Amino acid sequence: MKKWLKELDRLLRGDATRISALRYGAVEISVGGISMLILCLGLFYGLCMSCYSMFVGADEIGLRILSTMIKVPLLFFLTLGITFPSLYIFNTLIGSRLTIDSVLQLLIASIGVMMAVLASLGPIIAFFSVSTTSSSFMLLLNVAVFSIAGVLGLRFLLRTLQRLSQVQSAPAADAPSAEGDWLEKEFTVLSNAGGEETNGTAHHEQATSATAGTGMETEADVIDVSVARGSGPYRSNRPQRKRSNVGVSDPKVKMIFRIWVVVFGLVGAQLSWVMRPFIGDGTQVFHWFGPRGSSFFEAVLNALGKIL
Amino acid sequence: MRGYLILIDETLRGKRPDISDNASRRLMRQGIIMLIFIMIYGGVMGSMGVFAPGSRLDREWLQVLYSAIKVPLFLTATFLLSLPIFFVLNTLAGLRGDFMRVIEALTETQAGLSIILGGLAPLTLLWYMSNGDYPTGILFNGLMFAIATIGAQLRIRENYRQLIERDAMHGRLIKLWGLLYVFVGIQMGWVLRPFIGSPGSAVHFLRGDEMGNAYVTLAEIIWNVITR
Repeated sequence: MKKWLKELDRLLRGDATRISALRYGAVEISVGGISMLILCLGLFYGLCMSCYSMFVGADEIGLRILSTMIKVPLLFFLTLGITFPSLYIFNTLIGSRLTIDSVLQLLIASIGVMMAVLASLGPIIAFFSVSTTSSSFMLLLNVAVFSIAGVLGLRFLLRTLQRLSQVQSAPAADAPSAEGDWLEKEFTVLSNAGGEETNGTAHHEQATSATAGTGMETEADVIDVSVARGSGPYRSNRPQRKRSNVGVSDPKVKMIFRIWVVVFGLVGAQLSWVMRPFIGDGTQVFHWFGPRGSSFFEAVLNALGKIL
Repeated sequence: MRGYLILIDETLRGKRPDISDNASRRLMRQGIIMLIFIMIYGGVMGSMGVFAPGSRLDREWLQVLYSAIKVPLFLTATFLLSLPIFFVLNTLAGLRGDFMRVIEALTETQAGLSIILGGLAPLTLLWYMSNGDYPTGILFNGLMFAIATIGAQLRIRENYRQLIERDAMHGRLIKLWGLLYVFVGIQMGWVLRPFIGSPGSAVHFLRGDEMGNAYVTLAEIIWNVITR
């Protein structure tokens, strides 16, 4: 747990997303560890959120608390589960160098940041929940808090993507010297397979100039795939795809991630509506999920109307 | 005693501690000063009923005691509730290394606010003695808090100057802190009311039965004014 907390701390501080730390083409975090922290922080925020039902005099308080505590982390994991396949597929279709592991690490890191922000706002939500009887106000406050966390988390994602693009623009310069032999060896093997010249040094130079250039499909790009596979503590052991040609710096990749950010927000919002009630109304009987119909945005407008 | 007086002077002047100063002792003394001054103002704030004609002193003194407890509670709870998200935002902005200095600046500002309020307490007392009207008493206290806040703002600008010189992001974050503190503080003040206590009415620690939400009440009032 302490190790995971340190990892989350590194993410928040920006140590894990410095250019030197991204030299292997991925945010080097333990996906399992950060996921566990996301779960714990989500449970904590759910507890703060459920203070409303504790103090409003609702029935089945225990079940209401349990339901909200489970639903908060579940909302994030399900939103990720729904949006991740399409992101990865489109990312691969345009030939991005980001592997499935590095995409997942990047997204889990972003959600980790979101949950840290959300949990740090938990005490304020608990205080307002205890002192407020208006469920409409609590709904709007929670929407605002989730939006703040979402914006900060997704900003982290786009900023890290930008840094990854900088790393992939000059991988040889950032790679540590100890990696030199491994890179050369890998490159020689690939060159032999392609019937090209076998001089590693020449290829290394070619790799540097090619990747810093236009992103055309060259053997140099295969080097980048190898770099992206990484040699850090959380590198993937899976065999890597040898056909990748578009760096993170490619506008298409950035566009795909920007679209994903919007889709993530929309899916998250609608999913929260599907999974309602999170806060619940003290006057209604407890149920795990609300009836189908209407939408998140309609509910927010209704809540605003009720307050006014 | 002299040490405390020097510290009060230094807090108001925004003087940074010398390296030779014992940091933990200074912090503890600052905490004691804050508590004493803010309790003085709180006590005075709740003393309106004491000066009302025909008041029952045994009951009105209870309001003095409650307010002396509630005003420091109000400031401390607002500070502590706003701190976690401010910590995360500082970390995300890459300013974690300065956070201890940030905390120092914020506590010095809180201490400054308390000392200013304590200094204004005699004025409030004089107002109560000369005017027993409850609504004007609320307004007068609002004015005293506004003056103390402006004084604290001057202090925080001074305390934060070095930090902002180091990184301009500190400037943006301290504005955000102000917004967050006010947002939480308004509701905290609403929950912990009454601080003054209407003369002659029953004395309660909290108005538990009508706790409500300050923002919802404000929205209702504005809406009623618009649609009247």
